[in-house]
Amino acid sequence: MRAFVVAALALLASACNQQSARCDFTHTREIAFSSLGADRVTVRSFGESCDKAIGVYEIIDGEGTPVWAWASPLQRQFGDVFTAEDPEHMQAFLEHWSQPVIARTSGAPDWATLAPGQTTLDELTYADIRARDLPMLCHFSGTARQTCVFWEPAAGGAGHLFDQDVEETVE
Amino acid sequence: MRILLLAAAIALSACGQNGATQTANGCARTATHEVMWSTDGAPDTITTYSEGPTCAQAVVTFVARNSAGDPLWAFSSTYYDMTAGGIPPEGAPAVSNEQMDTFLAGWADVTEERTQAFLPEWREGVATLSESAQTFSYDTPFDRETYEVMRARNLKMICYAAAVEASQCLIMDPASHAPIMIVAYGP
Repeated sequence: MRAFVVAALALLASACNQQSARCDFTHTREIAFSSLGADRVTVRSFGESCDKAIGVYEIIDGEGTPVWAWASPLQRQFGDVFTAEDPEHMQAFLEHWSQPVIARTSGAPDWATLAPGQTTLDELTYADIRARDLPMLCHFSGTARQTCVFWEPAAGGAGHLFDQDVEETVE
Repeated sequence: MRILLLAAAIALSACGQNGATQTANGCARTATHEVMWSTDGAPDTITTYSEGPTCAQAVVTFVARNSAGDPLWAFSSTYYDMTAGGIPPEGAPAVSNEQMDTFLAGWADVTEERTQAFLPEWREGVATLSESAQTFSYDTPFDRETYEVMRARNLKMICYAAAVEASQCLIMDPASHAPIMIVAYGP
């Protein structure tokens, strides 16, 4: 019996090591963004190793419905800071990444100041969303780069508003 | 013996935590498809994933990796937005695993094209690519001169669905050898 338990422990340790060799991590944070209020952000990394990991940013409303999802190879957007040997760094990054900035669309830049490609909306739609002062969530989508999405209460969904450079950096 | 069993229980608990939050995932599905795109003679792999408590509530992710496993591109959306648009209405029908598998397989099966043959010309003197195109509405992050240079080089391009009626096309930037989106288009 003792030998059986020892063998089981060895197998368990082996299984744990296999899991930690990958870079599959998740961090969830409760936020208030949509009309329902009890939303959450879930950020995930996945990949064979952390230097080759994909990052996914999800906003899920209080009814469990995803309203926004964004993904990118993390090293491409956030630089050469993720190494295969340091999964703890990835976990710390995810915890930081899951913290969005919650604001209002009235604080979005004026149309005239936007650079080409900063928004995919046309001028009338952008100005309307800005004027209605809707909930807005901005998350990092790169080093010193944020993506901002707005909550549309009429549709019960979220949409991309604009991207912007920011001074703060994510380490 | 009790100490050993207790140690096993603690080890199991620690193994499960691993610094990550465990979430219910009743719709973890995947599909793969190989394409010849980023490197001559070495196939890239497109993998599409779903995850969520149910398939109707799934987030879906598109990932392109080269033959060495390095990620080239990733894109995420919700299953519902990709297949119907917006978010599911109250009482929306459930989505089966088979429906998800069909979607993921189709999504991974990207369109392989060449820039000159597929992309519309951006005529001189026309303000935007969309105004220059005959059929769909096109967006490009490039100015006319750069766009036309890229188009004329007849580069390999893959196009994937980015919404229920929208696609995005990627090329390998000849200068940086990194993937970039050359157009997004739709009705």
